[in-house]
Amino acid sequence: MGDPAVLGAAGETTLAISGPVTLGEVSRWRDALLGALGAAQPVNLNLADAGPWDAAGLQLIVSAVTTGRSVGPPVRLCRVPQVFLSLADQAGAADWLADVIVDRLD
Amino acid sequence: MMFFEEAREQLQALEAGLMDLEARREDRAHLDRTFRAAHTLKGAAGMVGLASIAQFTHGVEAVLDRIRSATLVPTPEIISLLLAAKDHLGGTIDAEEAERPIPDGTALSEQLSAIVEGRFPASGPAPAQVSVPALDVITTAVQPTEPKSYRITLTPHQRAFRKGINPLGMLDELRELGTARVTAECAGVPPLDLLDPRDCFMAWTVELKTRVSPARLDEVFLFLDEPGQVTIDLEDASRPPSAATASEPSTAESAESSVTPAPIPESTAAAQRPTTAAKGAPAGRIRVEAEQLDELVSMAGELAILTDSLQRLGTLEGAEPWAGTLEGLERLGRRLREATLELRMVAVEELFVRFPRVVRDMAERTGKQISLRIEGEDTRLDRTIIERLAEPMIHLLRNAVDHGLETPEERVAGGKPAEGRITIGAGHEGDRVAIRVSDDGRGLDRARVARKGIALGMLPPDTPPSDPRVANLIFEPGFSTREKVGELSGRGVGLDVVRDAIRSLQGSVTLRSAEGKGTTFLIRLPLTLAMIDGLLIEVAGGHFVVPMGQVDECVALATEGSMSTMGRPAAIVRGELLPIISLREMFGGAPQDVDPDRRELLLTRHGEQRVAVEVDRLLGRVQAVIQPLGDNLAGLRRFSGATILGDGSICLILDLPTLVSVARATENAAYFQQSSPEASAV
Repeated sequence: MGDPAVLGAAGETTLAISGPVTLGEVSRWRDALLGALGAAQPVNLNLADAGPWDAAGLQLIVSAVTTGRSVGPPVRLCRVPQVFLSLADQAGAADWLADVIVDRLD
Repeated sequence: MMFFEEAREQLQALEAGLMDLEARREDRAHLDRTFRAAHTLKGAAGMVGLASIAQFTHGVEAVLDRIRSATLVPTPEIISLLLAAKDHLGGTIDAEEAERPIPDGTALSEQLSAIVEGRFPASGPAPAQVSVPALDVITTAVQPTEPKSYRITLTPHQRAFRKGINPLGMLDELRELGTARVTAECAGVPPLDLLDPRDCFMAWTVELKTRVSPARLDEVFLFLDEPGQVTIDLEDASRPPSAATASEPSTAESAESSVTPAPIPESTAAAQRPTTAAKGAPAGRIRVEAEQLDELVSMAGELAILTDSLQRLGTLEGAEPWAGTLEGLERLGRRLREATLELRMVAVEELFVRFPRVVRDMAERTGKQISLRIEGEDTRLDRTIIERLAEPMIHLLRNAVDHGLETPEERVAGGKPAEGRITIGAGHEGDRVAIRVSDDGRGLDRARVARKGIALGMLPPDTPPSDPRVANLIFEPGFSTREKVGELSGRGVGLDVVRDAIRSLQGSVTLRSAEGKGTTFLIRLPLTLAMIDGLLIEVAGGHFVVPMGQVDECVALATEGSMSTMGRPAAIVRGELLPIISLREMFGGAPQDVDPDRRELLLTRHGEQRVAVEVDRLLGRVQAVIQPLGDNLAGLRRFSGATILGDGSICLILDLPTLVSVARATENAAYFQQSSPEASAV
């Protein structure tokens, strides 16, 4: 599992997720996400290098987005690769995530 | 009992799954299906008290569980062991059904346990690679005529992820069954600070429009071993699944304004799954004894023939009031016959599905690399033909592997890829089905076959390799050019058995071969054995039926156009020289009322050559319900059965290819006797 790269741009936190996001790694990524959210500013999750995924990994992202919607700060998904978009379609969660996807990788 | 039939179906599904395991190890749905076949078999065996089967299958299931949970890689050695375990289960099922002692599976069970516990030793070099196209698992549920709409809610247990349950795989499987709209229910997912990410809090709603049975839907969720995780509600069949709109609110959006949702409790309120099938829904399939079906088909065929005969009554004076009734009876009889014949038809896929395993095992034993390609598997054929084709086709596959395909080293040295290819295909040719078995191997060595044939006295000494009779020799009993008996064949027992088996099915087998390029065996078969279209002929005052499938064409020739070649009668038909075989001479007897200036000829194929069979008279076409000859007459190879004509008379059905073979062999023997009296007879 890759190390989370947290970039503290002005007013935003970017967390780059890399490597597998499956049942074996979700606990560690949850901690990284909590850390990023602790900065109390909008969080951009850079998913460009993340994968493979499974249902547990998708649930983790859903939980992060839920956290942003319910208690803040907002969580956005950027540089979203096709593998994640396909996963979201497969799970019927594409609509639910649509408004937090900022940009997609070609 | 029904368990044994269903157990064999599960074994077939298990084998199909195992054959693709290596190539599809990332395909969760495939892994789940393969696991489910073992799981279902185990459960069914336990329910009927067959503890030996249940216990052994548990070992197979445990290995498959490790594979689908990605804690075990399915190596070729492990797959071979699982296939051996599957074979053991097949033997055990057969033994239980026959109430015989069951085979000992202790050693296999121990090896399966060793795999699960990580003690399975690495074996030697990987066996020869066999790549096969993925075969879809055959679903056993019969689809209702009209699609139905279901609303399915899937709420996996909180421990689902830890137990290796894959909800996304279930969703994919539902999509395969019809038109599905999947919506993730994210409202139950807690925020990060309350989330144990290894627990499952997501749920799904699926609106599915499908033709499959409720039982088939239940199978998708077989792994949810705790109650209350899925509900399947049948909706109004006329209402299509709701279409998605951009503005349609998702049920999960309520989470935006809600307080932190509590995790889903361990036991849900919905403990029962509602009945999925509406009352009075039609049964998907019923099982009947094959003999009952055969009797029904036979009676329907005889009814159709009788009603055909009744048509003649309609032409009698005074029969006008009955004409309509007779016509209706004739139409009904014909429809009944066609419907019952259709009951006998199954897809050749039921036959072909066993061949990937056969080829894989042969490749292992011979050390050859083989890819198997299957085409036309949805071609339909009489059930009896399908059942009786298995052995001859396995013979042909053995022949292709043992004789046809070269070793990888030989192929590379000859500029071919190391992996040889075998293709099995099926398709329709007019009113017949054609099945071919092709290889891209070394092809027939005609010179070697001709030399052997001459040495055995089966061919004249000056026969060139290009003579059409050369290729036919490989179908003769005891003929083999192999110096050594091989792993699979070479004992000279094989292709004659194939030919006889195909002939017993009213079919024919021919071959095309090009040296260095490969060989194709082509089997032509009638669609059904229950009835045939035939030609009614007269020979020496007796009536016989010749199956139309054995006749290329009928020709009437002026007697003055006849000739002889090498002392034997022959005729030229459109520039083609055809030897003539007289059935009257074969059967004995004098011609009756035969036109001396005219010869009636049936042209038939004998290997790569055509032959003209002379009859006294052609009387017309008939549809014949085939009746077996019975045990006392079963050895008469010249006749393939009997039938009852419309006038009630009994008529024998000729086996034309056998008659021609016998006639040719007799002629050759007589020729050798004349040309070299010291030569031994064939």
